[in-house]
Amino acid sequence: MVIASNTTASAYCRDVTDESAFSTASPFTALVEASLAGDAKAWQALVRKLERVVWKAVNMMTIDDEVRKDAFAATWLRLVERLGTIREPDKLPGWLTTTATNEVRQILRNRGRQQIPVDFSAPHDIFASLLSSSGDADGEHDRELVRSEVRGTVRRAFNTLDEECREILTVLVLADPPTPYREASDLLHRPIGSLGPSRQRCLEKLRNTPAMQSWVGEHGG
Amino acid sequence: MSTVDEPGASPSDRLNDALVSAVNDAFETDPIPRDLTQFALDAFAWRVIDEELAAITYDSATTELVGIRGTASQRHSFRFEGRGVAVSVSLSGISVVVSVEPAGRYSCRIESPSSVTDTVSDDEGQFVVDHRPLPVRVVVETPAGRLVSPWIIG
Repeated sequence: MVIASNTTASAYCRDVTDESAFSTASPFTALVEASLAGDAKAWQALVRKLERVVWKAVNMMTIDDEVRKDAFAATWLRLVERLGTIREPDKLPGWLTTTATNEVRQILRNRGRQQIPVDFSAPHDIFASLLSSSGDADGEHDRELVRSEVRGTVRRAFNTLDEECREILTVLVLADPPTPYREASDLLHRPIGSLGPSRQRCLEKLRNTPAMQSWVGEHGG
Repeated sequence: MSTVDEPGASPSDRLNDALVSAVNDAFETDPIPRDLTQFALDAFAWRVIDEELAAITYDSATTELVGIRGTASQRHSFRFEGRGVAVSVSLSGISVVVSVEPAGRYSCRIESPSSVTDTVSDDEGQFVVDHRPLPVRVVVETPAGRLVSPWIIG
């Protein structure tokens, strides 16, 4: 293996004495170019810069732990495989998001797996972490508790959406700034004119889930 | 939380914006397992240099109704082409069967992130190796250069 197993983000960011000048602050174009030339530091920076986008995408697509791990891994193998074909490196976040959602769908289909019923999984890790958190009941703790509960509710609701809505919303809302419709249209192979209405329809579905009703009430819906 | 501030924005637009923010926030905090970050870093070792990435011309996973009865993991076949050869691969729970056309002896390699196996096909262009877990890809040395299949993931 090329990279030492004890590499950490902080160790890497401090590693300014290394002759490779690449960091997560470097532009995508430079990182892709240098990675293609074999610069392992540039690849490390690409991974650090984009791993959260990929992880978030697979988490939004499925709560099947094995599938999301395999899809995450597959997405990076695809990027390595296709690196030489990336013509617009600035669009990598959108490309990776779409690749990740595709890999989830492909793995679910190939393995004949059904999406795991939502009631039995996603919220558990949230509540487990709440239960194991320290018990000092100051205001900040309470506020964090509420924030965690809201996150859990939104996830539960989102996980009830069909695969198509999950994919559309993942690609359209995940990136910051959001993926432009023109780009999303290319990536999803959907007509550009269908994206706005699809986004609207999927957000409405989300709003109308039973789990979201109190949230909608609080937000003036 | 971002909201639409323009006077023309409808309450529904504002609600959707708040919803998008809430979704983003809800999925923002998942810690990434360390072994997955490490896999992504190590994936760099698998980059394709001076090889031709083959085009998949057939994949049973995308053209057949596999998996409906739980048989998907038992058999998966695909075919790829490039550099003047066509390669058929059949993956099962027992073995990997590879057939290269036109027939002949080719140096080949079966790669997966956990193992690499080098072998040579027989005069018919065929060889068999033990089963290995996905993802997997096949590399064939052709007279025109090295041909590598895309990763077979599912």
